[in-house]
Order: sequence, then C-alpha cells, then structure tokens
Amino acid sequence: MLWACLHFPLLALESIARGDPQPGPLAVVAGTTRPRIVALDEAALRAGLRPGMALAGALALVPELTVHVRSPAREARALREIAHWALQFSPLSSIEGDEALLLEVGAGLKLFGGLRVAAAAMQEGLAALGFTATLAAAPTPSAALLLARARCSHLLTDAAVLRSELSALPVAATGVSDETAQTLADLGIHTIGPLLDLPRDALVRRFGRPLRDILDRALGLAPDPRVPFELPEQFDSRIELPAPAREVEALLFALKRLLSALSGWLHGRGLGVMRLRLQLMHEDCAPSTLTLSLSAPSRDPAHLTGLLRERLERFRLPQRVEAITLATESNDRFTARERSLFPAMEPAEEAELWERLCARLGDEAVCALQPCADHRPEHAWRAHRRAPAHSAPQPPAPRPLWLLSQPRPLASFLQDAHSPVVLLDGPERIESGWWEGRDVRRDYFVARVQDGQTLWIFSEPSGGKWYVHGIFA
Amino acid sequence: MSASLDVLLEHPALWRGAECARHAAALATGFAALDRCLPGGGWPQGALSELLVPVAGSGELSLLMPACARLTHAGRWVIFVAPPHIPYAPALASAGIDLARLLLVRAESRKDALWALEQALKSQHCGAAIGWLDRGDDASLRRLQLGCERGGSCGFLFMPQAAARNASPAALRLGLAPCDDGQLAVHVLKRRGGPLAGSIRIDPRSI
Repeated sequence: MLWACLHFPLLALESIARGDPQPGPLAVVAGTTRPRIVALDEAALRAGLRPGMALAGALALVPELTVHVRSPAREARALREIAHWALQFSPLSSIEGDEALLLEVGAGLKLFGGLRVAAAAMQEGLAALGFTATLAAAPTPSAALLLARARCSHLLTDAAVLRSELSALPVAATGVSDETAQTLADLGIHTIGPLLDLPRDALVRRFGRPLRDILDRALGLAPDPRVPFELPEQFDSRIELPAPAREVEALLFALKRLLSALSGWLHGRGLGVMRLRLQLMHEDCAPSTLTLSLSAPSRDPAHLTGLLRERLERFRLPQRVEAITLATESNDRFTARERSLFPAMEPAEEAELWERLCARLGDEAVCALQPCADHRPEHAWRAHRRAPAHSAPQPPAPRPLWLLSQPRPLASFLQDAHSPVVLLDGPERIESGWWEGRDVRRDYFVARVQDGQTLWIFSEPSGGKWYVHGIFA
Repeated sequence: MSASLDVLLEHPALWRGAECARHAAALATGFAALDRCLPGGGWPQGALSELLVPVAGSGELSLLMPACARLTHAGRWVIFVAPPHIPYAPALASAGIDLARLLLVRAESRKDALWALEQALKSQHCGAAIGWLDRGDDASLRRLQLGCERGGSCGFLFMPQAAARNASPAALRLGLAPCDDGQLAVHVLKRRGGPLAGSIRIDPRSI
C-alpha cells in the first residue's frame, strides 16, 4: 500500500481567492472581539502585513485591503470538493482534519505511469482548481500526513527508511498542542527522532496517548484504518466570487475551477454529464438558472467551457453575480472512444458542432429532417433531434424542395391576376387523414408562372381557389 | 519541339488568356456543361460560391443537389442555415441526399445566421453549408471564406440579383436566370482564372 497526503496550508485563503483572477491584497481574519489576521496573500505580504497582526493595524497600513471572515464551513466544502476531484487518482480518499486529504495511490500506480508522474499530475490538477498543496507519499497514511504537514514533499516507497525520514521532522508536524510543543522544546526535544527513543510508558504518562498513537501508526506498528470518502449521487458545488461581477470572463474564470472539479468527479465515477444546471446567485433577486443539455456524455472541461461561454454571452443578467453553483442533473456512463487507425469521422466531434450551435441559438434551433409515411404533404416530414433512423417510401410524383409552412393563395405569387400559369404535371389527388379529423382532399399540380418560378399548387375539388404549397427550387 | 512546348504550357506560372485556373480542388457539380466551365471541374472546395437568383423557385437549389448528395453519402454533413422555407424531406430524399447527414439550423437574426454558417464551415465534418442572405457585406463574406479554407468545406450563399453590383471575396459567382422552358441560364460572373463570356443553359431537374 502506498498513501499520498495532500496538505493545504493556505486553504483558508484559497477557498475564497480562487474565484478571482487578479486578487488584490486579501486577508482572512478570525476572532470576534479583536480580530486578528489568520492568512494573507502575496500582495498583502509584500505590503508589509504579517499573520497575527490585529485587523485595525493592518487596515491602517493597507487601506485597500479586502477582508474576509474565516469560515470553517467554506473550508470544509472546499476540502470535500478536492476529495471529489481526487477520486480520479485513487479509489479511496479520506479527509483528515481540516487541512489534509489522504489518497491510497498504490493500486493505481501502473495506470498513471509511476509515483512521480502521478504526483506531478495531481499538482497540475490542483493548480487548475486553484489550490496549493504539499504532496508527500509513504507506506503508512500517518507517515504521509506527518511528512506533508512538515512541508516535506518526499515520496517514500520503502518502509525501511521510514524511521530515519520521520526522525528529522519537527515535533509540530505531529499535531500536538502549542503547550506540549513548548514543553518538549524545554526538554530539548525539537524533532521526532528523540521522541521515538523515549520509553513508551513515560511518553504516554507525560503527554497522553494521542502522541504515542500517531507515532505508532506512522511507523506501521499500530493499525490505521481510514474512513473512505463517500461520493454523493450528483455533483453539486459552489464557488463564491470575491467581488460581485457581471463580465463573462470573470464568471468563466470562476467556472473553470468548478468544471475542473466536475471533470475529476466524473472521472472518479466513470460517468459523463448529459445535463448541467448552472445557478448564478445575485444579491437582491432570485438566482438565475441556465441548463445545458448535451447530446453525448462528456467530461472534457474545455468543451463544457466553450458551450457555457456561448450561453453566458447571450444571457442577460439582472444583477451582478455573487456566487455560482454548478450541479449535474443527469449523467450517463462514459465509454472512451476507440481511435481508429485511419482518420475517419469521430461521432463525438460531430455532436460537438451540434451542441455548439444549440448553446448559442437554442435547443430548438438545430434539427435533422425525418420523412414520415403520410400522404398529406405537411405531415410527411418531421423535425427530429437526432439523425433519422428510418426512411419513408418514395412519393409517387415529384415533390418540391421547399414546402411553405402554410399554403398561400396563388394570387400572392402572381404579378397580376391575368398572368398565365402553365400546368406542367398533375393532377395528383391526395386524400387522407380522415381518421384524425384533419382530412385533406386536394388535387396537386406543378405549375410555372410568368417570372419563371415553378410552384406546387393545389385546389380543393369542392372550392375553386388555388393555393401554393411548395416551390420547386 | 512540340513536346517541350507542351511541357512549358503546363507550367503553373504561365496563364493563357481564355482559360480558367487548373489544379483547383473541386467538387463535381453533376452537370457536365457546368463542370466544363468551372476551374477544377466543379464547385470550388475550401472556398465560397455565390449564387445570385432573381426569384426563388427557378431551380437554383436543384443545382446543388447532386453535389450535396455525393457529400452526404461520403459521410460529410450538409447544413442548411436559416432557409427561407422548409426544406421538404421527401423531396430531398428523392434528390439522393442521405437525410442522416443533413442538418437544419434556424436562426433568428442575420448575425446568428452568419455565425452559424461560420461555425459550420470551420468544422472539419461539414462538407457544405448553404445560407440565404439578403445582402453580403465584405467583412462577413471574408470571414466565411476564411472559414471555408479552414474547414476545407464548400460554402454556398444564395443572394438576390442586386448583390451582383458589389465586389465579393467569393471564389465563384454565378448569376442564375430562369428560362421559359424550365431550364436555367447560368452566367459565370466570377471564377478563378478569367471570366466566361456568354452563358450556359442547364436543366436542373434532369438528373
């Protein structure tokens, strides 16, 4: 077994700032009576602020500082989202505390081409999500956790070197309280090595069981079961924009984070999304909802970004957007396409053109034509959402390439009432549809009028008026 | 001596007055008389063709049917963008088109229709995209021409006769006029190479 641990030291900051492409100086504060700064971004650090400063002092130094209150719920949500995403790399992921994620990667190493390649892919994916993490790997989960907490990105595969590697880590990596760490420092114990050499009972008596337990588990001397993270049935994730925005590019930047997470979730479950729901939260009015339907299951973030860009550009926002929620409504099993040896039509890419047209023009704008077996000309065809499955029998007489949606009187096509109309073909009696109550009884002719148009006209045997139903183009 | 003269005449940099461009990629129209007048022997591929008609219903769409039928059976798509009337499925099937490869796109505005045409032409899977415009401005036509080049598809635009007055970046411009006996008189207004004097008569519904 090989466990990888992802530790997120900047989770408090990144869970807020990742929706913004150009963050200004940003600080996260905690505490109600005398708020103190908990986390800072680079711009704020450059401006001279430090963690632990009082908020009043910080604002005096940097008046344009954006301040957010620390929200453990938001951080937990972010960690859950990362756990979703991480399931594309491992069948088992487990959340540890509030800042770390454990993944069992030993099973899938061959698929990813080795531990280093997998680690690099994970770091790249996390960057796309907007988080920075320390990644460490070890044969036991607790050892990986200790390494990651100590900011050591070591990838240990050999259990024999575990003890020596862990000995060099600082005591704070074990997660002990500050007082215990201070006591240990007073005793002259700054790294884990001396801790491992102390007699077990004395350690337990002096500092409690948890410290000894974590050391045992890290060395593999005690069992270390982990609760696996359960995936919900549908993906549902939310990102808050640091400042309310209206421009499509700002919305898309935040959306890209959500789509990366969605793609990871879909990979983890082996699904492709068929219908997506995007909700844009506004300050004062009800959220706006956009639904995107796909003709084939997809999990490509670039493709989904393109479709959502088309939709958002046409969508009129009532107000500025404060937060975006992305949820899947319908998924389907995703089968990877086999690539043929010779370049041929890839059906999924044809579907992409269809989806792109629908994303901008509307779902009803694009259709295929399906012939139906009905004698009545207006019912002999139907618009169809997919390519037609069957063909209908050939009509007995020539049919025009254009059909008018409603038959129009012949007089509207003639320059004056007396211009000659030459009948070329006909009559063709079409009499049908009595069982539906919409029966037709018409004699159809092919006629040519003066300016050269060839029309498909009919008259009803009962009345004498002539109507045009089609144009032979 | 004549053999070396023939070799010289085949040189691509040499152009004689009355002929049209050779070695152009083209899609056979299906009408022999028309093929003889067009460079490459057919509709220019990877380029825009304009067809200027005075009134709908003269046989202009039938002129495209053989080429479209060949494209659909070869697995490429034919896309109708914002047609003025409903394309009638039984008639298209009789003309030989495989309806599984035909798409109909409805657009509300001219801008949407031009965008849809450009997207269709740029896509690798589209064999031909057919649009109906009431006027053509240089910028849009140039974009469509670039789209054709990128996707390697044929773009067909139907426009009213009045558009003949304006210059256009299309590779081929045909003026169509219906004759009394049902045939179509085709004037080649512009083609790669030199212009064609006179017109040819084609019966579009003969195939």
